[in-house]
Amino acid sequence: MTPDGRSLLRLSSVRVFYDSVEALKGVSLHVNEGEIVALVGANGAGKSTTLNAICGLTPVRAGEMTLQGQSLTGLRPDQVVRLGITQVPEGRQIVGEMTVLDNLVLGAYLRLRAREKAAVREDLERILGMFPILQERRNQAAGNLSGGEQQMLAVGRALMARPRLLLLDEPTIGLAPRLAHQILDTVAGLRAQGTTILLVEQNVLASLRVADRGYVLETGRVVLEGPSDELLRNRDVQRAYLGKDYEEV
Amino acid sequence: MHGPELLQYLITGLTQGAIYALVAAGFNLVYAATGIINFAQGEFVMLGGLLAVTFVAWHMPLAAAVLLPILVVMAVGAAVHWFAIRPLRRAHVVTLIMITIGVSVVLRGAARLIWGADSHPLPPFTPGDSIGLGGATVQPQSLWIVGVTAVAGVALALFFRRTLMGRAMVACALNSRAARLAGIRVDRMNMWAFAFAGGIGALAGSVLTPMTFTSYDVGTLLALKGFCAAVLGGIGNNMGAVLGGLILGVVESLGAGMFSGYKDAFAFVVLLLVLFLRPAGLLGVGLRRDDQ
Repeated sequence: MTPDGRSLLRLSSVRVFYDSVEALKGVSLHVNEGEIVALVGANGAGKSTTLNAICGLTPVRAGEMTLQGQSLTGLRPDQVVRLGITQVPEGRQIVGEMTVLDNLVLGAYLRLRAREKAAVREDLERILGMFPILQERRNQAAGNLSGGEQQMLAVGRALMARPRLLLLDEPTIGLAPRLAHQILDTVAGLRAQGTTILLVEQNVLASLRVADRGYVLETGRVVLEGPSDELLRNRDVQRAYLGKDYEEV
Repeated sequence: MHGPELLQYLITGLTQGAIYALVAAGFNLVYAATGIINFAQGEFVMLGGLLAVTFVAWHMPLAAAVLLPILVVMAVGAAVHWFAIRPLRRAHVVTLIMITIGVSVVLRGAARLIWGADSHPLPPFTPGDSIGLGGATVQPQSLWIVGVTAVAGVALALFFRRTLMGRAMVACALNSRAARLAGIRVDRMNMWAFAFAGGIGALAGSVLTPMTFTSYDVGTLLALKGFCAAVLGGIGNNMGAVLGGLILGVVESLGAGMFSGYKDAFAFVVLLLVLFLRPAGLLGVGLRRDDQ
């Protein structure tokens, strides 16, 4: 699993500090074009920090991050979005007081600033077609949507930026299993349409099932990496994250 | 109180109320974008008026003398954000509000150095006598004030509802994290909010000054009254600002007619009543902020 020429995103020895606490202790990973890569691990392992570092929300103290060879290190969030990376943040972060439609439009903020009006309108129709529930409730306040619907809105909003790489932070958290599956199906569908995805999940089993490869993060370090099926068979992963005890393994 | 007398108080109140509404709209602009109550808003009004006075003294045409201060105070507003608020963006919003009080003191002091402590007049926008109306009189400048407030109110409402920038500004306030992830530069947006607040404050200052004169210290009371109007209408709500401003102006004017000498106390009675009885304001829903 060495990074090859096709790798879209690459992190090399990225270190992030919150004050004096080292949250990422030299994380290296890569995501190839067209892949779904899962980043799994327990709470506090540094998964969200990794995504926020990529997005420019959290400053990186050392290491290098590139998108197709172009450095992301030190860029502002808007510059990262412009390069083609958008994040669906944990907790959805929709604007509850605004309508569903306004939330989606804000996702295309930079494209609208660049006067890509017609293309944005097309994407809006496409995304509303993809999520019929959003179409139905387009003029309602986004805060009135259910948790699953808000998650779809958050995904739809991120897609409005036409990302090459979509970062998903815990998209299934707090959702009923059926809805969680629906969201992960959507994720698989997005890849089929050509979007590359880096997926952060605490739900290890479900996320490794949709992902091609995975990285296991523990206290700010990548402790395991490999194809999803290998990780799913790995004894340590099974013990630590899939709730199986020694007997079963 | 007789009919014509009552009508006169009403006209005076509505005129004064329109000014409060403009000041309240300035408060709302900054609040809607940043969550900060900008107590330097009154100084923006003061600067607008005094700059207009100076530009008239420099023999500029009246229209230019009134419009140019808008641009200048927009720049002042932007500078206030960039140099006083932005460096402390990690600070708690209460800290930032206190900083705006500090900024107001600085601006007032600077104005005193530049313009002195005297009151300065400005000619009315359109010359001519008062217009009679059912035994009361309306000064042409009153019509300017009410008209400017109406136009500014509609323009602001359209800006926030219909324009990308307006919606982005609102998004910054409601959920700054979501806004940043959408590629909106929150600090730039906040700077523009301060700039627009400066512009609308300057506009209020230049339409007001022909009625009342102006001096370096008019901002304090105007800011407090405008703040009362904003709270009365529901802070962040621009229709509320207009409603709150007009109600406050009329209450004050009628109150002053009945108990002269206590004019300035009425605003605070109204403010206290609102805070006791309906803290969200008349049209407010009590904003829920997602990111705090």
